[in-house]
Amino acid sequence: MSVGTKTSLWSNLKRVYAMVLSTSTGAGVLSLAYHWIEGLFPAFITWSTIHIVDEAEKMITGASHHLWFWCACMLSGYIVKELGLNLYSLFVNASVYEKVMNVARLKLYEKSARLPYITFEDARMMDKRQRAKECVDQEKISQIFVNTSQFIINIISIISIVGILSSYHILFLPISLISVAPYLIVRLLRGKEFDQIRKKQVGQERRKEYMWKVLSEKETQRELRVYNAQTYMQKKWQKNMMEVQEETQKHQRKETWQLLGCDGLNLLGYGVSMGMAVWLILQGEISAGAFSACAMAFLNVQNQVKNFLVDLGSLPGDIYLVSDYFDYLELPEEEDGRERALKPEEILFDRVCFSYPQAKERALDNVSFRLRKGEKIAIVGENGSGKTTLMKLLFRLYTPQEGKITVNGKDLEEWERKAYYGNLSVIQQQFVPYQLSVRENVGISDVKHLTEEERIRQCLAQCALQGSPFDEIDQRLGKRLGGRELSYGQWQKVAIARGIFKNAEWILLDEPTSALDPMTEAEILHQFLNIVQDKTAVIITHRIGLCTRMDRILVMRDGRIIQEGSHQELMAREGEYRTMFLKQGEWYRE
Amino acid sequence: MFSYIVTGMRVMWTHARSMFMARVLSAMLAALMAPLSLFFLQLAVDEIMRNGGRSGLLWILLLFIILCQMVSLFSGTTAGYWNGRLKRMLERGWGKELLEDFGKIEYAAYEDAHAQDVLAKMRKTPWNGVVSLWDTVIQIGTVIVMLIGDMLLFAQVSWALSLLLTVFMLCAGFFQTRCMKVMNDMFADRTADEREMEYYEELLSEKQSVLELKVFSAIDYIRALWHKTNEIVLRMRVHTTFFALKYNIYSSIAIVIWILILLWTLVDRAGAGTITLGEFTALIGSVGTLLGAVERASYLCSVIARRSLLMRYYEEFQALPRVDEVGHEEPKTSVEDGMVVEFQHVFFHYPGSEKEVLRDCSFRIRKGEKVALVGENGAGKSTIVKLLCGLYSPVQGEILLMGKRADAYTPEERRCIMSVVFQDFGKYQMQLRENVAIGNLEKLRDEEAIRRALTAVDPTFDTWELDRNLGKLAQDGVDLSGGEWQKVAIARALLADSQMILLDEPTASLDPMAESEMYHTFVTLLRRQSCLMISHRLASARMTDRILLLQNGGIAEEGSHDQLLACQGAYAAMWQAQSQWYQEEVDERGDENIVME
Repeated sequence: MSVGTKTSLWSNLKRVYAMVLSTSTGAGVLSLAYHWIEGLFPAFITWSTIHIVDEAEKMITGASHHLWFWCACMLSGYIVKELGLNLYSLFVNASVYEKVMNVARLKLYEKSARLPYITFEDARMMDKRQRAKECVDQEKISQIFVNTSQFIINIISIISIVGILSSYHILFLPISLISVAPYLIVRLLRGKEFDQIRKKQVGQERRKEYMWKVLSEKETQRELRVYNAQTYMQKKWQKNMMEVQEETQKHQRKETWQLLGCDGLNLLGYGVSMGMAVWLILQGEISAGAFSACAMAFLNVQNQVKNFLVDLGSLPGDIYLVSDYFDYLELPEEEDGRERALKPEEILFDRVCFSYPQAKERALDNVSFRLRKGEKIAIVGENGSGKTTLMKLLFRLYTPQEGKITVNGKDLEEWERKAYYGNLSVIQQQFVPYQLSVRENVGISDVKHLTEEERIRQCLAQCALQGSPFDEIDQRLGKRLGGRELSYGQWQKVAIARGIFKNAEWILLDEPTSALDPMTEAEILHQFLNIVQDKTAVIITHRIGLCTRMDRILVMRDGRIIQEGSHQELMAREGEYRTMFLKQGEWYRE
Repeated sequence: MFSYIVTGMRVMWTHARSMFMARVLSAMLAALMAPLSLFFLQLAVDEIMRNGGRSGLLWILLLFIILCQMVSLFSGTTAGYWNGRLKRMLERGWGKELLEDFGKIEYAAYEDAHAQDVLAKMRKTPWNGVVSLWDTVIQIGTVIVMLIGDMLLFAQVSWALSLLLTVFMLCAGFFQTRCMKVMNDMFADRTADEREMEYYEELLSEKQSVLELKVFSAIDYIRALWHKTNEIVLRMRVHTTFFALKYNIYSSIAIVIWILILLWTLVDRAGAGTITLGEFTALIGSVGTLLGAVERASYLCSVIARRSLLMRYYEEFQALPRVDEVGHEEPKTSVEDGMVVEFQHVFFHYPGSEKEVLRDCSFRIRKGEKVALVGENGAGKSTIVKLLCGLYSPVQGEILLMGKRADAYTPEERRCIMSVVFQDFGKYQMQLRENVAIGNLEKLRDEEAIRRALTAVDPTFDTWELDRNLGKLAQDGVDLSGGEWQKVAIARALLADSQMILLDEPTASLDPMAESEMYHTFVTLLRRQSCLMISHRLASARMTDRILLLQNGGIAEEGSHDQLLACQGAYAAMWQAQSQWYQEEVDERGDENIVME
């Protein structure tokens, strides 16, 4: 283990404890306190057993006055322990698990929403988030807290049992150590060999799992049936599976032999210590009570050491997940500017360049253009030409690597997001079908006015959404949470109603996908045209028909604006736009 | 629940008999070791008391105690090995059987909500589930065996004590099981509120929704919704936890009373001198191990019901209807020759649904003919594709392929007639060669044919290494863009060299113009073969020889593009609605039409 991971182990443990103790202080402290009781319990039982057996010996052979006392003592020990255990499980379940994990979960999602939007494009960050989510889903934070605080139990009980035994005879100190030493030695011997074997197998195993998936899932199953290719896939799975199995089998057999070897060593330790106990009793050095107590105590100590080592072994893996969680929480959040007084009059892109994380090519390359209040602009271009990226920069979701975006002459970065967004609305191509009420579906674009039922109804009517289920404004939509399901076209219209409910001066529209039939599609595009009439609008489209209604058209290709101008201007000269138009016309001319 | 456990055993018995028995026997043997070693301890103490242990018997007893420990240690270690072997044997035997079943189950199951649940459960490496179910059963068994051993130990002193032990342990176990069941159920059954919370969490963390919520400044609103629901959930959980605690306390009381009785009896007997010190010691010593065992057993009892659920799913999986292998009815031949496809008065509704998707639907596709199928969303276009692929059978009416009833063909014969590019086509994480050759596995080694299919779709494929791994699964794999995957899928259909190719909107990720171009290449590419294509973009439909307009479950209009435009029907309206966007003036009249509808 290198120094670096060691420090991160400690710092992560510290983070776990800080989080648990700060969110549920009382329960955290109480559960730690309980561990002391539980840790001391085995020693207590050993101790009282010695006394009870010794007193019983006296009673059987003659008379004893203390047997009752010791029995009562043991009984009250059990009572205290049971009571503590019940309270403990209550605190741990209700507080350490429930409350802490809830807080951890919310923190994770709040963080996701506060991170720079570009994070969504960064595969490494998404991986990190996935692991952070796993950490929360598997309740790792609480688990580590509980497991590591169990160490207290293990350590206390080992020390206290050994202490009690040695108080009866000093030789028990080395004897106990002999009985547990093999575990420690074995742990050192086995090392990390197994991890390496597992890592080697991961690739093959994933292939096997993939084949299984292909053969059992709907889409692929359908295709394999049509092409009659199931048998081929089955054989491939089988071959892969056999290879993996052979390897695993070999590895597991080896591992089992090694483990059996460890068991042998442990047995030896146990045997030697028991033998010494017998020898001591033959010498008359210890009582029968002490002898029988140590027969049980040795096993107990061995178990404790074993548990301790197992828990310790799983700690690094758990800590790894947890460190992803905490690292994710500490990622830098998006910065906000402070300008909020003005309404945007003009947005200027000045030689803006942008590329996605880990991408070689630029998504936007030297893009410059100007948008003035009251203008209507269309952006056209093939899929992948950078239209959507442009929109995201306009929304200040991404920051340009080169060049500048200014609003009213002021760098967009200096604007306060909330104030800036107050002037914008959006209708996305991949709109969100909110599984919320009709009211919220429309009103979420402007939650301050969520209570204005009249206006919500107006917006719905404007998008030709009337009748059931839109009449009941608090009816939940979407089947996922048990609401009314809508058709794709209806969801699209709800998204439009949402976009216009926010009465923003600037609106950005992205053309709907190919999944709509021509009639619905036409209806929606007409609604688009209605919306933009009295607004400043940017519309992403493929269709000339929409472009003719716009003041200006930006033609994009490979991340660059290659043409700019009104429909008439662009048609008048040779170029991409004219070619595109003619080609479209070719397909659609009557 | 009991029958599910038996089902699990039957699976093990069929596929891994010897290993299963080895596992059970070694576990039961080990279970006896705890009471047995206490018994030896008892003898040892008595021996010490009798003659100071000087007879040598003490050393023998010591050896026995160590042997007991050895058996239980070894059995614990090998149990992990047996379980691993069991899983592997099940994967080999049962897994293979399951995979074959996945291929044989009627396609309808893949689209039925409940059956989908069953399939999803069986998809998740179920052998692990069976082994863990039976591992639980075996462990409960070991606790019972151990209890019996302890009972015998107690019976030496008094039968009544032995009986009391059983009663109280059962009581404590029962209460603990109840408690754990309450807690487990709470976590297992996610309530509506929890699903709601989960949904809000998704909204706060997914790309599309975060964009919208940011622009709408509605993140706080969603967070508030989460908090509101969370409070309800948390209150409910704390309440349940308190409720469950009740059982825990009952269990503790039972345990304490039992210890009290035990100690009382022991002291009483010791006073009367009717008990040896060895017996006394063994009985006192048994308390600790017993408590641990009962705790473990009640945990196991509380999870066994849930673990056995898998077997319920397996039983349902087995009950799903299977496809009949080959057509058994006399092939019916068409009156007319040269037809690749003939729908004769086909009626169809999905299983479990009342709604008739196809109603008296009839059409024909000739050899080499290119046909487009258009219609509104939900008109049943994809259903026709599924019927043609044989994924479903018509409820009424006939589908003839090459003049014979469709179900008269074997899968291989059928493959020679029909190939398909689905909307969500397969992106196989395998070699490029395999990706294409899945369409026709006979040509897996025919590099030339594969190359031809690929370059026909896109000449740039010429330089691609056929053995190159596609996708992210292999380390050297290259991930393709949406458009490239699509081209591979089309090459797959071409390689199949079937009489007919179906295209079920495979071009969703292309913009309208790119799609038209793709379809254009496609139509010109296919000379001999027939083709049926589905698209909402009518420019694509226009390239075909004939257009079928699907409406109200039947073919409402049929003819070439020009014919259909001339008759001024639904197709003409659709064409008008769509083509306006590609012309310089948007027709305002179209707008009114739509409002009127």
